Amino acid sequence: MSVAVEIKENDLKQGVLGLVVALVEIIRDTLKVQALKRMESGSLTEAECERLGETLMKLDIALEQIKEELAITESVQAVRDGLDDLVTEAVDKLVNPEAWRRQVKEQTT
Amino acid sequence: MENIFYAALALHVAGKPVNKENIRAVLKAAGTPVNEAALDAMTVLVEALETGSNKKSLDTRVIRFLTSELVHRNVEAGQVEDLLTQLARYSSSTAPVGEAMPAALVGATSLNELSGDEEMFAELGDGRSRYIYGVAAGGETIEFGRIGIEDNQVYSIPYKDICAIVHSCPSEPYQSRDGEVVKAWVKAHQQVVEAAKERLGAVIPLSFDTIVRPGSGTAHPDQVVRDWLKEDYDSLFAIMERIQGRDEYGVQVFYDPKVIDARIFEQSELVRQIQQEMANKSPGMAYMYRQKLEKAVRSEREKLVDQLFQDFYARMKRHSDDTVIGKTRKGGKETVMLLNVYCLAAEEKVESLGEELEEIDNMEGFSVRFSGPWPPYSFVAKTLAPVKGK
Repeated sequence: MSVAVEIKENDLKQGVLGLVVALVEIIRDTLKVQALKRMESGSLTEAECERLGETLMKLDIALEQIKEELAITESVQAVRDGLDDLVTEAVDKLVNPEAWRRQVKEQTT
Repeated sequence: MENIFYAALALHVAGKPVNKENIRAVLKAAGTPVNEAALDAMTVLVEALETGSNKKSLDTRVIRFLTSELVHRNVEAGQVEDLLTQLARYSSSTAPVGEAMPAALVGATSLNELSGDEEMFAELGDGRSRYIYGVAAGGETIEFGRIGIEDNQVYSIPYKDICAIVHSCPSEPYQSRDGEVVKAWVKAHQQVVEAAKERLGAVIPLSFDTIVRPGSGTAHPDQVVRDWLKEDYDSLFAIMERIQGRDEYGVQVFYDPKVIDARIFEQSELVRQIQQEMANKSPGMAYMYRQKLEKAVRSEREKLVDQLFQDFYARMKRHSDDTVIGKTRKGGKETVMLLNVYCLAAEEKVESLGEELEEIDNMEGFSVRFSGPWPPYSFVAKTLAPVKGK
């Protein structure tokens, strides 16, 4: 059975923008983690910490504005939730390889 | 087939020996097609009359004839088999009535004989598979009536002291795009499990759409089910013992993240320390400290939630005979699911379990959802996974 997929231009735009902004958010999050690590290890001067903090703060504000203006807050969240689920599932499998093995076996038989 | 009767009668009136060859000759002369199966059955009857023997064993020729006749008359396959099972049991019960004879044993041997006759069941076409609702205690063949999915005739196939609750079905699983249709099927499945439980005490419920189909072999589908019972008897018996007199209850505990966080700010030394350091910092630095604080709160929250989980879970375990931890669904902002546990509990334990849960429910920021009793689906699935593959 063939399924006709009708793509509305607006939906597509929202989806792509949501994906892009979600990726930027994830990069920002990793930057935050790194910045915090360096600060705690003492390898940054006080002035450097200040600059780093201010930059990250501005990035936060900019991202929130973009999301609001483009009305993509929800689609960004959806992308991130989707990725979260994916990671949770992967971790689940690594933590419990026996269940994973069973699942694969069930699917193949 | 009446023709055969008339032909035999004609031979008898004419004083000729009534046997297979003569009946066939008469029919040929009359120009009627010969129903070989019916002819065979008639021969058996005549032979029995002539020898005056009153042996009660069921001749396969009679069985074959009856089967094909009934099938041609569109009698349901399930009913044909029931009839045959009854006939076979009757014929093999040479022991005087009242003498204890394991019903399962009688059923098993007679059906073995039947399934040895390969062509017989090839004719049954549809109904080559068995939909299994569950496995119950009891070693008898029981008719439950037309209570199954789509009003199918539900009956039990015994082996030793356990039996599978089944109906005869085509090999294709029940599938539909219509949610209402599926709902009705699942409801019927559930009702059959409940009916079996009411009647037989303990039932191992199987999941919806568990169908056993005979492979390429010619074994009778009931026999395939019985073979499965035989093969897995030990594990089935073990599960039966475990669930006997017990029901499953679903317990879900939710928490309000705001309440948890408030507790962390109140109790955590680390969090308080960071908060103090944060004060009077320049904007950029304050931002970095905020990250630090968030990180600390997150890890404290994880620790606290884990503690609560262990605590609640241990309390539930105390009032259950067995537990299975289910997956937690992601919650919204207001409430988060902390744990999702299925408890197997005997009736006398339910009250204390309920009291324990009420205590949790009364804690500020926590709520409990309690459901049941259910058939113990969560406590049989793992062990019986191989059935699905057949």
